[in-house]
Amino acid sequence: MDLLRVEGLKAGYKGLNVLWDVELNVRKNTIVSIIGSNGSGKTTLLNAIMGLVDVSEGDVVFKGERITHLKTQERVSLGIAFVPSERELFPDMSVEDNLMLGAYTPRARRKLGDSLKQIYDFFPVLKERSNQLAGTMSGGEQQMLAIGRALMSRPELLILDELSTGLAPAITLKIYRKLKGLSERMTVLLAEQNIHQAFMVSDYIYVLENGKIIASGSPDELSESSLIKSAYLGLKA
Amino acid sequence: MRVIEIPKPSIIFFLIFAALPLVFSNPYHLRILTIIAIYASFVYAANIIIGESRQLFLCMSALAGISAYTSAILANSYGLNPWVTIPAGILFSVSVGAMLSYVSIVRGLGEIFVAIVTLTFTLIFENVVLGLRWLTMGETGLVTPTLWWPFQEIFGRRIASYYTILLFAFLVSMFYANFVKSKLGIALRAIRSDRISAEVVGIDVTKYSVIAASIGSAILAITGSFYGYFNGMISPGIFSPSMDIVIILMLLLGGLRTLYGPLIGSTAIVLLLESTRGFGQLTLTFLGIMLVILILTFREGISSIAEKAFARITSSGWKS
Amino acid sequence: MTIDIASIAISELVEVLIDGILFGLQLSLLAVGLVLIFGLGGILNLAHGEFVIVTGVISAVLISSGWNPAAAIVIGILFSGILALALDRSVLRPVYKLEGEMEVLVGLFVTLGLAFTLEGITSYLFPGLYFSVRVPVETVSIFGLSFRASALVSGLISFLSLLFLLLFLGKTMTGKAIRAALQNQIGSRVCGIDVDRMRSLVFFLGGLMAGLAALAKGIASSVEPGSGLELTSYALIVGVVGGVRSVYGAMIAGILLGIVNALAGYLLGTYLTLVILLVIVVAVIIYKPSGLFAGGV
Repeated sequence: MDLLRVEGLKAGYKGLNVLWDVELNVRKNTIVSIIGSNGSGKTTLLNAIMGLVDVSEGDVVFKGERITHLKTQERVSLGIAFVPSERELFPDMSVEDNLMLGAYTPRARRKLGDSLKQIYDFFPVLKERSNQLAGTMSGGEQQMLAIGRALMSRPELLILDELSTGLAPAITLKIYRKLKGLSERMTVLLAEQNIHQAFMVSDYIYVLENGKIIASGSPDELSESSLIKSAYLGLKA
Repeated sequence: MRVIEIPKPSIIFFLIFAALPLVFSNPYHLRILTIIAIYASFVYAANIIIGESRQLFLCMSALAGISAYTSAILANSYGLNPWVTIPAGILFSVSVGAMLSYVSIVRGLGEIFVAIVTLTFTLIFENVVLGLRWLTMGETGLVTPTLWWPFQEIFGRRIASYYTILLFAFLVSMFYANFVKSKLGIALRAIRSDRISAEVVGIDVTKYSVIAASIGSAILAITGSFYGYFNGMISPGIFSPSMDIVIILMLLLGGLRTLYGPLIGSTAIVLLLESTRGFGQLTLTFLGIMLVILILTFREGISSIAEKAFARITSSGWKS
Repeated sequence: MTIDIASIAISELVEVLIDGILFGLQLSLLAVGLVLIFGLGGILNLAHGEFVIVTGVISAVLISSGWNPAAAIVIGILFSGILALALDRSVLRPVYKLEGEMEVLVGLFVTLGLAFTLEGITSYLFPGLYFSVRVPVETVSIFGLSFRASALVSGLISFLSLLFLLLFLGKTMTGKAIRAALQNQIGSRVCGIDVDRMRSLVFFLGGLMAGLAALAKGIASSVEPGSGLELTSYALIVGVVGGVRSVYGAMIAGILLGIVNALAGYLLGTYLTLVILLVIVVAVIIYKPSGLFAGGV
């Protein structure tokens, strides 16, 4: 079953269109990646799914329901969590306050205690630093906090934008391993510039170029494709 | 050499105002006409400082007041002819205006902080005037010495003062028409549209902004002094923050950065304020509601709307 | 009998200091609402002082028509909160659609217009009206120092109001959500926080704080129509010195300026005092526009 469907989406900023007829499906309990170069529209696509940019045409469908015109906070209440590439933490609040705010929606608030314990088990460093101000932590720790905050809302769909930017490869790897473990209970959609990591963790991959999906398939299928080989994997090899 | 431009509608406006005393000759009407002319000059100054160079000065009343007080106090204390002390007042106001502008730009204050600093400066001015009772007579107000208005022996003081002040407003209006087309005006336009690019192409933002503030301050200062001598008395109540609001209201109503806006705005609002005088404090409410409506609905002002309408009529062949 | 001059001077100084702190608490209370609203609404609310006047006017009118003073004051305070909320939901709506400096500028002029509107209405309808709450005891002496009882009660009410605000912002989920929205709006939205709703709540809270400031001022002295812009400028002074977006900054700055005010008043007389406060503001803006105690909400 498709947990999330993006249908013929056109979106952008202030009348400047960035995305053109994007179609995308995310099956339940899978990890789906969107790859593409800088400026290909990955962030805009995720922001459109979250209701953070204006959609001019097309629909976003979550669990069979059109959510195109819902506000961001309403989408979060439905069970979608988002880790923006800029992390968007609350710098002058403690780690624990940041996490607690992740469980702001009524649905999540009931299980706040449990969630907090789980997140602390998941990222022990956050427990050690629970009283530290979020703004004073290192980049890797902030990324973990951002993910932890998103998980606090007990989402069915977790959306991550550019997890690996600004992080040491070892830390990214560690976080990806943890995400892989999560996908048994949760669906993950991520935008990634780091092709190799995307290929390693994903069940399905979309390639976005100039605001259009130019290819999609499982990592195995895609690595056979000559287009992808030359354009992406070739460069990295 | 550049030819000085004298826009015709402006001339017509001033000719009408010059002729009005033939119809409205009683002292009350003449006073209203004079006040319109005074505010027209104030609004041109605001148009240069706030409109052209985007410095949100909320101390226009204080700049006008500083000059009026300086000139009157010097004339009173040393028995000097006010025409001799007016330049001293101008000098004082211009230095203050230039300094406020210089400091805000060098410190990189945003418009909002410029507004707060200048508003605070107005409050300081008000309190200093109130405090220095022995010099300024505090709240009671200071009786200004008698100024000789040109041709007052022939036409009488009221008429002479009106025409002097009207002539000055006319000169200010002509100045503004040419100012926007001057090198300075063009530089300010460049700074307004993109400050960083302007800096890159070598426009000295600090210099041009300070010059604009100084020119505006000079107009405020001269007009402020005229106001004081025309009124016969100056008090902190006259040069209070609400004067700034009235000026800005006129500017917005008439139209920011337009040639005729200050004339339309000052005429409309002075007449409005005069006709609602009977409502006492409710006048404030009228001003407040107008400000809210103006700023929310048409920030372009009457004059540019009129111009557009005019353009639409004249170019009826066009469809837009 | 010997008189210890030094101890008289010191005890007098202590009295002045405490007087300053009590007045400073009032200033803090006056400023926190302004700062909260600027922080989240992006609106430098020049009508803030009018909220104080409105509470005063409503309470005074109700009391004079025979209401129980406590009930009248509660209604007055609530009314200011609701008025602030109503402004947020109506005239300020179009302002939020603007961006950056334009939003701040238009907000500044709209609230200035509202201030004039309210100032005109209250002065026109209730000339000569004033709101003042009497404290039955004149003076209280503690450790041999004597204080005006009204100043103490007023300071206490200010302190409790500020404490309530701090606890609300620091301990409750809603309070945390408000602080979150102040710090990062996108971050708040992805947490499921409705930023518009938080802003309305902040306006309501700001109005309530202004109402409580009216009570504190009514006890210490009086509140009367026509002084709204003056109160706004005091709030602005405190807010600017503390850092216009920082609630804690406003609290500290209020107390500090209260002390400066009392000391300057004691040493130099009232007229120079205000000038000194204003000069401090100009100096702070010029040397540290972010405020002396910025950071933190």
